[in-house]
Amino acid sequence: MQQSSFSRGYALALLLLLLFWLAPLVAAAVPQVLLNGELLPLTPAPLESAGSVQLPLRALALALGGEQAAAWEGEVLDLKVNGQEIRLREGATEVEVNGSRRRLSAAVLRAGEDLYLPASLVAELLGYRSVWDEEKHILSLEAPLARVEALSYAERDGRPGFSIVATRPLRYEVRSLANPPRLVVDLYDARLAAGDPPVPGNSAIRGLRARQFAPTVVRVVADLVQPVSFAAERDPARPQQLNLRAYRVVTRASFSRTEGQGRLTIQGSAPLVYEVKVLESPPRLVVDLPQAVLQAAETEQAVDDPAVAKVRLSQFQPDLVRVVLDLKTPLSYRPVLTEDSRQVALELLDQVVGLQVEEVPGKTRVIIETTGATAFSALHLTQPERLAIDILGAAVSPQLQPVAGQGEGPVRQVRAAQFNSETARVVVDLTHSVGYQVVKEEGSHRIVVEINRSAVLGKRIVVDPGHGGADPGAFGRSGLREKDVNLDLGRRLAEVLQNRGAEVFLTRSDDTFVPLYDRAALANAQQGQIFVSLHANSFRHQYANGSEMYYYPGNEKAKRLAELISDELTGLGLANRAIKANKEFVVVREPKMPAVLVEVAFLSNPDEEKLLADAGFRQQAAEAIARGIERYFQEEGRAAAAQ
Amino acid sequence: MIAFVLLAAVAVGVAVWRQVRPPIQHPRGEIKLYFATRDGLYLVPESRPLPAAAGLTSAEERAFFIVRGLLAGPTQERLVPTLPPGTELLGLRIEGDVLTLDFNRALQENHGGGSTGELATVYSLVNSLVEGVPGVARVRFLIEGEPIETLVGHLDLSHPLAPDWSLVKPSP
Repeated sequence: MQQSSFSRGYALALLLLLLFWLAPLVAAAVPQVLLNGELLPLTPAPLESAGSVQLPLRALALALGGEQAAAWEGEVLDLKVNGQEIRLREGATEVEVNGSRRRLSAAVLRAGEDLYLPASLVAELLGYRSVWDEEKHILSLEAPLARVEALSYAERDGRPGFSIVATRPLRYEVRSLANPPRLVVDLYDARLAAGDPPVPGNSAIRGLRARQFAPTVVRVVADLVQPVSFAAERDPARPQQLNLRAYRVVTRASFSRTEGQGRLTIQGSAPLVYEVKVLESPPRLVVDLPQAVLQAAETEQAVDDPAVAKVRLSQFQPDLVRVVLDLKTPLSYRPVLTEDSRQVALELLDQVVGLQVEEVPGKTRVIIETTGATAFSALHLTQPERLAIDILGAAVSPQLQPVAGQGEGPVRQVRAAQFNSETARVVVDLTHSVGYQVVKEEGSHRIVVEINRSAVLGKRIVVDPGHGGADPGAFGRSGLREKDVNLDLGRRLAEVLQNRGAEVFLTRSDDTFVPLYDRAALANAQQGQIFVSLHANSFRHQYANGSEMYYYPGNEKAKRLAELISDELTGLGLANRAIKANKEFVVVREPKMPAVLVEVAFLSNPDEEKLLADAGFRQQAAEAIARGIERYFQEEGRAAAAQ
Repeated sequence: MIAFVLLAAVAVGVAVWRQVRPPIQHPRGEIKLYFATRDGLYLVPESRPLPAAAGLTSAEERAFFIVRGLLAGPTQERLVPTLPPGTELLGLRIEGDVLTLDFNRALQENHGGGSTGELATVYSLVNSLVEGVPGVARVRFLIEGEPIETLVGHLDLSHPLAPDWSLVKPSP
């Protein structure tokens, strides 16, 4: 059995050999086709007639491109040869190549189960040269094949991939296959001359392998680490090089808020290209990422935020990832750079959505409501008096209206405007200068401006610049006159107090002599609530220095006023000498109101004379005395409230 | 020379007002003169022995002795005179418990001013005199015989002043 089987196989092989050897002689009329010198077996065989040869197209396609290369449906033959799609119809004098029609100089013939065209036309369609040797009945087709010389792994802009180098620009086709994930690149009119590069490859590719898939087709297969799409393009600098680069992979998109600043972060495998659209109804921010594929664990993420509801990711198109930030209110954004170049980060420009004025004991509160932003800087501006609170990373809601202050409080109105593209400015217009602080309210997205209601608001204050006219008071060694110092101090103090809403009466506003009793009488006539006499001190010895206050013995309110003014003047660096009670000072005894005489500093002391001669110091002194007065009325207010 | 003029003036004054107030006997001993500290914060007493000369037993003579001592100034360097240079006492008299002092214009015109300066001048006189002259409780100031509203623009000198002991530095 074994022996007989062997003998039969031997005989068959011998017969075949004989047949091949004899074929050109026996079937001299059957033309043969050589492609680049190698025999291309075609079944059925080409037809020869009248000095030309007709090629069986379906057989040719199968020989060049494999089983998938031809589809025969009755009269229509679809071929896929060397990356070209060719559609032929029996009897037609035209052909469709890659969807466009071309006229033929001969009609398509049918014989048996195949369609035929003259070899010269076929060669033209394929871009080959053809030579028909009529004597030998041999058709030689010369295909200009590109030699594939090198395969290599490559990585550019953080995108892993590979390159194929050939002797000519290649025609190619790229397909992705799954299980296991791989990329198939067919190179047409190509001849493989390169070996496989060593494994492993890079972050996207396990390895590359190439083979001569068909006589004119080289197939390169990239085994992938994970399924990723690739973009293929001829190298701009070297067209004979084909570059394949993995699409960017989007792995995550998330929204976070740090220190009031909302941020959308999109994480990619490589630097991402993106485009942002701000859309309305419903409000949302759309980020499109081309040449990117989505490989995210989460494609939808609810957000607990005053401005943002949700983050969504999708593969919007085969090569486009779309990230959508669903907003609760329309917001703009600004791109920010992060340390990770593979990240896209967009900071939300939050909105100022609410303004409110609220009166609480001793204070007026201005409440600024935002959609999230709470980073701010505040400044005090004058002429007119106002506070400006700049909210960083915020825009003013178009619906926001100015708010008027209430009652006699220091707030005239509150308004908001866009200061620059990234900063919203809230302006608090004031009736007078105030003390204030700006705070973030815990657990909310509100910035609160707390304005101390001026304690001197509406208070009637008599300011008495000592001496004047014929009475120059003391003299400094340089000739500085006390009456001039006192008048300047008095005017400054009056202005500071008036700015804070007090009603101020000066016992003299120019260089005139006013007797002591007249000063007190004026204060009484004006029904002042306090009386502050301003002086510059003098003593026989220049050693004496510092501030000294006088009040009428037993007048506790006047004593307290003196203590507070002294405390503030001491804060300027002046020595705190004494607060003395004496019955004989006319201006602290005669006014029917708490009255103090303030000796700011010594004209007889050379250092202090220099201070008193300095307008800047006099302003500081006036402001210090005003603070003392303010504190006095704050205490009075608290005492009144306690009763 | 000044002392002589002063003496003469006081003698005239004393002669004029002697009838109004009879001389009293007062034990011999010391009187205190209040001068100012250099920083002007306090008055500090300096003692002077009363000379055993005749005529110093009257209140006016004691007052005169005190004013003269204040005009002469302190002996300690840490203390400062309280009366301006050029000051002269033109006269003094005692009516009831009020001692009236009449000074020349220098008291006002040569004064350096300042509340501290005015307090030192006025109360060095008032405190020294009320303490040193029996029966005197208050002191009135005249300039060349005329009443004044104030010395240098702070204190009310239009009426007799009682002493202010709060200005005296407490003993250590």
